Amino acid sequence: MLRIPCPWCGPRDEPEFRWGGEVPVLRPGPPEAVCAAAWAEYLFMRENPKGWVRERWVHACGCRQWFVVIRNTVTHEIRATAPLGEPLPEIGP
Amino acid sequence: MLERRTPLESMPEGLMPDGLHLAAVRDRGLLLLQSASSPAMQQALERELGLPLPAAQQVTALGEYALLWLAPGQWLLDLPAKMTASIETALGGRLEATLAAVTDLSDALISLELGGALAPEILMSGCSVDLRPHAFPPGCLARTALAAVPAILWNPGAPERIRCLIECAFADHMLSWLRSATRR
Repeated sequence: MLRIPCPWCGPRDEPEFRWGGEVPVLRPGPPEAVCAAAWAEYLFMRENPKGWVRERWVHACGCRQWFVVIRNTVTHEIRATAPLGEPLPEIGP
Repeated sequence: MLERRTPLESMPEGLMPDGLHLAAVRDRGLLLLQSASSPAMQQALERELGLPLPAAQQVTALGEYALLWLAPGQWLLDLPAKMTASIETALGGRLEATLAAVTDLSDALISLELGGALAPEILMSGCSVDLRPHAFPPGCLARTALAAVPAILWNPGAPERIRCLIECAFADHMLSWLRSATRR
C-alpha cells in the first residue's frame, strides 16, 4: 500500500485517496475547431511511462483537496507533492 | 417546533471494558464556515466570538466554542446548540460583502467522545494516524478514514479524551465497529 503525503493533512494510507490521472492533460479548444484525432489524443492517449510520473490525487477521506504527486511507477517511491498550481521539482531520470 | 433527535439516542451510555468510556456529545451545534479569504473570516470570528483561526490540523477553543480546521478555507465551529441559529445569522451578516458561506451542519454530523487510557489504541486499530498523547496533544486534529468512513478526530483538551465527528448515516456502523474493536 502507498503512503501518500497530503500537503495539508500529512501522510495517510492510499485508500483515503482517489487517483486523478497524469498531468498535464490540456483540453483542446475551441470545441468546434478540434478535429477527431485531437479529441482522441485528449481523451485516451497518455504517456504511461515506466518510471517517474506526475499525477493528480485527491484526499477523498480527508481534506478533499486535489494536489500533484511525483511518483515512480516501478518503485512506488513518492518524490514530492504540491497543491495544484504550485511549482514542483522537474521529473528527473 | 420539532424536537431534535439523533441516531445515538438509543446508545447505551457509560463504561465499556478496560475503563473505556464512550459517550455521544449532545446539545452541540456545528457551523461549517467557508471563505475565499482567511483574513475576512478571521476578522468576522474575532469580532463576533474573539476566536482566532486555527492553523492546519489544529483546533482553537474559547469557553464553550471550539473552532476546527477542516481544509484550506474551511473551518467547523462547534458551539452550544441553542446558540447555533443566532451565531449563524451574526456571522453571515458580518461576511455578507465577502465570498463566504456559513452552513448549519448540526444534523449532518454526530459527535462521539471516547475516553480512557486505551482510547487511542482502540481508534488507531481503525485508522493510520498516531493518536497517542505525545503525538496527538490537546488542540490537535486529524481528518482521516476511521473504520473505512471519513472522520474528523480531535483532542478537546480533557485528559485521555478523543472526539470523533462522523456523518450521521454512519452512526450505527461506527458504534458496532467501536464495540467490536473494544472486544479485540
